[in-house]
Amino acid sequence: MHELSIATQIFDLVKKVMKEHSARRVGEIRVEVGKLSCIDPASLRFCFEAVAADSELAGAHLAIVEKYPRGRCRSCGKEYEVRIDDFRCNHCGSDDFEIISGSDVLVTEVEVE
Amino acid sequence: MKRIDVQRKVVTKNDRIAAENRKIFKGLGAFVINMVSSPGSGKTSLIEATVKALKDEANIFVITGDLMTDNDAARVARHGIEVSQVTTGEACHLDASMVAEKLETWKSEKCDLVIVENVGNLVCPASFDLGEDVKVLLISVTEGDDKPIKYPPMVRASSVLVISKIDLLPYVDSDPETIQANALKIQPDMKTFRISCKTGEGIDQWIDWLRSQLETKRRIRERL
Repeated sequence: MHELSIATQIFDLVKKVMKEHSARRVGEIRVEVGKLSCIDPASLRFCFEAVAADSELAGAHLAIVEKYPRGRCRSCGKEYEVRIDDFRCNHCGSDDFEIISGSDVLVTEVEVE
Repeated sequence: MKRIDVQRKVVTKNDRIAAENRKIFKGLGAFVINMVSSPGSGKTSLIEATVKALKDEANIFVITGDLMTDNDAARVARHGIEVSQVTTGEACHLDASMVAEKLETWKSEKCDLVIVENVGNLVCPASFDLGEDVKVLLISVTEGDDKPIKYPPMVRASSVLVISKIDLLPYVDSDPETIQANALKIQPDMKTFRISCKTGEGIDQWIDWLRSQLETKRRIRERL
C-alpha cells in the first residue's frame, strides 16, 4: 500500500539509469509487481505520474506486469504458480516449499534515448 | 529508443530504515516482536500478560501504535515498564521511521525484549518491515476460521500465530484446528499458540517460548 514510496524509488532508479547511459528521454519503464507485494498497479501508475510530472521523466510511462507468486517444491522439485489461498505444492501437496518470486517490485527494462 | 535491461528490485526508504533498526536492536541484544492483528484481537492484553510474567527477569521496551489515544501505552505502563506510544494520526500502520524515533528514547545500552504493537490492520503492516525478529499474528476465535486465507501476505510474513480469546469457544462457531490449518497452508513454518488472556490458559507456553528466544539472544550476546 505504499505506492508513493515505490513510485519515488522507481523514479530515482530510472534517473540513475538515464545518467549511466547519458540518456535524455525515457519512454517505457517495464515494472513487475508481485501479487504478494500488496502494491496496486493503478495506484502505482497514478503515483508515478505525480512524482514524474514536471521532471525529465514527464512523459515516461509504466508498463506494469503483475506477477503471481511462484513456488518451488522441495519434495517433488517442481515449480508452480501459487494459489492465493493455499501456497502448498500444486503437484504433490507438500508444505515444504519456497516462494521464489512474486513478493517484490522489480524494474526490469527501461526504454531510453 | 533503446531498451536497457535493468532487473533491479525496488528497495524503499522504509526497507533502509528497517535495516538500520535491525542493527540497533542487534547492538542492544534484544529479541524484537512486531505484533499484528485486526483491531480488537487482544494484542494489548497479551502484551500486558507478557510484561507481567517477564518484567522481573528481562528489560522490556514496548512501543504501541494507534491512530489516536495513549490508552494502550497507559495499560502497559501500569505494570511498571518502559512504554512509548506512537499516535499515527491517520497512518494505518507503523513504519520503520516511527520505531526508529522511539528507539532514540531508550537510554540503556541493553534491552532484552522489544514488543511493537502495530496498528490493528491485517493489510498494510505486512508491507512495512520495522526491523523486527518475528511478526506475531493474533487471530481471535470470533473472527472466522477462514481468516488466514483472506489475508495471505500477512500470514506469509508472520512466524508465529496466536489464536486468542479461546475462553469464548463455547459461544462461537470456531475450531482453532481449522484456523491453524488455514494458516499453515500459507506459512507452514508458523508456530502456533492458543491462549486466553482472560483465564490465563495457554499463556505459560507463550511465555516459555519467549524465554527460550531471550535465552538464545543472551547466548549470542555473550559470545560476541
